[in-house]
Amino acid sequence: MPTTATVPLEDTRADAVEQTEAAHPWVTIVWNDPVNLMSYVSWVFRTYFGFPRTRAEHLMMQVHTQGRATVSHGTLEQMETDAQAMHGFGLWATVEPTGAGH
Amino acid sequence: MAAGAFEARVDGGYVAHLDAAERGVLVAVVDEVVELLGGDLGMPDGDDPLEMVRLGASLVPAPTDPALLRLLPDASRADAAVAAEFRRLTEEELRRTKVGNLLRLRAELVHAGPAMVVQPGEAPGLAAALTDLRLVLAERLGVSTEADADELHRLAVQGDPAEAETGEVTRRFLALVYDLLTLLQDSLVWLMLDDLPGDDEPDPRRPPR
Repeated sequence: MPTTATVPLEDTRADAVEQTEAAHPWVTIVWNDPVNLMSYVSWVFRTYFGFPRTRAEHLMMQVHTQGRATVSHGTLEQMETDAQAMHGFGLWATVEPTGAGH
Repeated sequence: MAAGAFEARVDGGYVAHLDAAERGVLVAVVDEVVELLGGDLGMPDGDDPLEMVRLGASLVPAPTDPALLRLLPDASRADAAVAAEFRRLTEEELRRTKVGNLLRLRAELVHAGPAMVVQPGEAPGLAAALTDLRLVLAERLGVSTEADADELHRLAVQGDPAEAETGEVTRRFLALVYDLLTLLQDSLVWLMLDDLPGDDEPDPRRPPR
């Protein structure tokens, strides 16, 4: 273990969170509905976001079982682009500030 | 061969077999949803940038029809200003995208004959159009939970014992249409998933062919 670290671990983590939120202040959420098919949601996540199959299916199952999943992070403008794309596919997506609600 | 299900063609693309009655019903549903979206109803031409600027200049109220709201949903649950700005910026383009997808599906249905052939490049737009048809039908039929969707499927498959007495056949008919749309979309999307790169492992959820 290095002995030169001068910043306590907790502070490092807090900085990292703040930096993440500064770079990605908004998120896109996809919500569950009783119409959209699991196959289709997986296909949308793989092709639009370019997620590998396992990640796409993990997020799809999160939507299905928990009612929502965070699918992307970025600026408000970027998240609006993603939400518009999701609405184009027929999925319901919203944008919200990072850490706004769970 | 399951009636209505898409299958892979040996020389590429996908094919579904629908009889004239099925195609006619689906065209009618497409037309209703196109009308709901305001397609062919004097929407400004998208090629005119000035028209887009004028459209973008004013606020667009959220739809009051719940089925249309499902096609063009709010992009924020908590922040009305964010939702309104999103709608102002995106709604016209979303309407255009959806109407375009639906009209391409309509053309396939009208011109196809019994075998509806879909090229891989057309499949994503078709799958999106099938989604929009199912969203509107589900909203009209009051499907808001997974249990509602299961009940609708049960109605389509088994019928309603009380149907003969009440004469209430419309719901069963729409349930059958919804089931056909689900079969078309799910079978098409599994073929689209098969054609994605890097998908060599069998998916345990994939229905048997």
